[in-house]
Amino acid sequence: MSDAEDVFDDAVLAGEYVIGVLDAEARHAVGRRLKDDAEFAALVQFWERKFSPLALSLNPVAPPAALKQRIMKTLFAEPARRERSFAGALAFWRLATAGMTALAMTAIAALVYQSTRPLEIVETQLYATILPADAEPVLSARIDNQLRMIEIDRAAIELADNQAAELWLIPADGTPRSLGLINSEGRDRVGVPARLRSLFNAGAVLAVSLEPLGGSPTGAPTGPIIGLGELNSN
Amino acid sequence: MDAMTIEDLLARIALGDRRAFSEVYDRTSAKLFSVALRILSDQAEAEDALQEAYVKVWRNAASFEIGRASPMTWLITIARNTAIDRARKRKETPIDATDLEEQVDIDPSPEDMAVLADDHARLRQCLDELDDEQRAVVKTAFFTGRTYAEIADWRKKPLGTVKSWVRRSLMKLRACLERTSSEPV
Repeated sequence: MSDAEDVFDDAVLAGEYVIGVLDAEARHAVGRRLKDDAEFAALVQFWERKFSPLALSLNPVAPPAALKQRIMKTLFAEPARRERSFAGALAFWRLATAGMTALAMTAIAALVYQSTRPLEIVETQLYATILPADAEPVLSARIDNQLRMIEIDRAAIELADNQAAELWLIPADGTPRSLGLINSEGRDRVGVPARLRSLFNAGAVLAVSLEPLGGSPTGAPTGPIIGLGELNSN
Repeated sequence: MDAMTIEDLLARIALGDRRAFSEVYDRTSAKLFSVALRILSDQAEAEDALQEAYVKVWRNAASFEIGRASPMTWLITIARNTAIDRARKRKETPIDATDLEEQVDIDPSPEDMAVLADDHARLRQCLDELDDEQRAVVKTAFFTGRTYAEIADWRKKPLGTVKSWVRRSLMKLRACLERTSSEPV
């Protein structure tokens, strides 16, 4: 037995997880660790990437046609979830802005513009603007170096009488944190809670959603996202 | 939609595009079903696993990071994890002898496989560097998703021996894959 107890590193554990030899308990432990250990998650991704061609080498087996109907029914008979549109808008924004050439940006601008207008975010000293062609920002914002205050220089948000505009920070973990309600027109200042400052990293996104008066009742965006802009500290 | 890659379609799914989802299903379900079927060795369970996997695809498409992973790797990973998690919840079952046969697809669909063809060649080359018995164990483990205990039972070897084989094989594979890989790990 002794040679099985040799010390093996995390890369081997990640490989064991990916090929699927761990028992339920060990597998569960690895699954939990994956959630907050990025280095370990990268090792798991290494094995997933390396081994997936082997899975694809299996002869395809068509599932019965009824299965597709069952899946479509399961998914689309249920009421639409509000968060979906938000996650979708964010994913599409990331797709649209990732390493994109000006030409491609123009090509997709119309699509982005259908559901969201960009925010223009300016950090003092360093700044970045994300602005598809022809689209007018819903707001322009600056954030001071200490991340204490977001200065909104110019907002142009159309609201119905029963709506409010809420500003959100979406950090790398993808969970939106409310920064509070903002004026729909003109200038505004939004204080940044101390507990959220560490989340203002490159890649974090500011978003504006339309909410009921008084703000989101759930703590997450419930209305349509009308603007998204990526923070970039360069 | 013909020209759309799986990657494009996943981005559409993230926006709630049902037609894109339907097309991804049509283009990938036979591959994912074969994966689930191998792991669960049961038609009904594999169908349930496939359903669960595609529900995850629909709900989590927004978390697919463009450029980080190949879309097929992402889909395969969801299908495998779903099937393996299901397998862990049921009683251990003996490994079927047919699990040993390699069912290699001789005519993979070019569009999705082209990207992975090089990776596959590399993996095979690295697997070939293992001893016959170790290679057989690693491949069977991967295709069937069986636990160490199940594999030990099947090979009629002590658990510790099988663990040692697999772990040493993984270390060799990693060294080989990193050596032959053009991309950073």
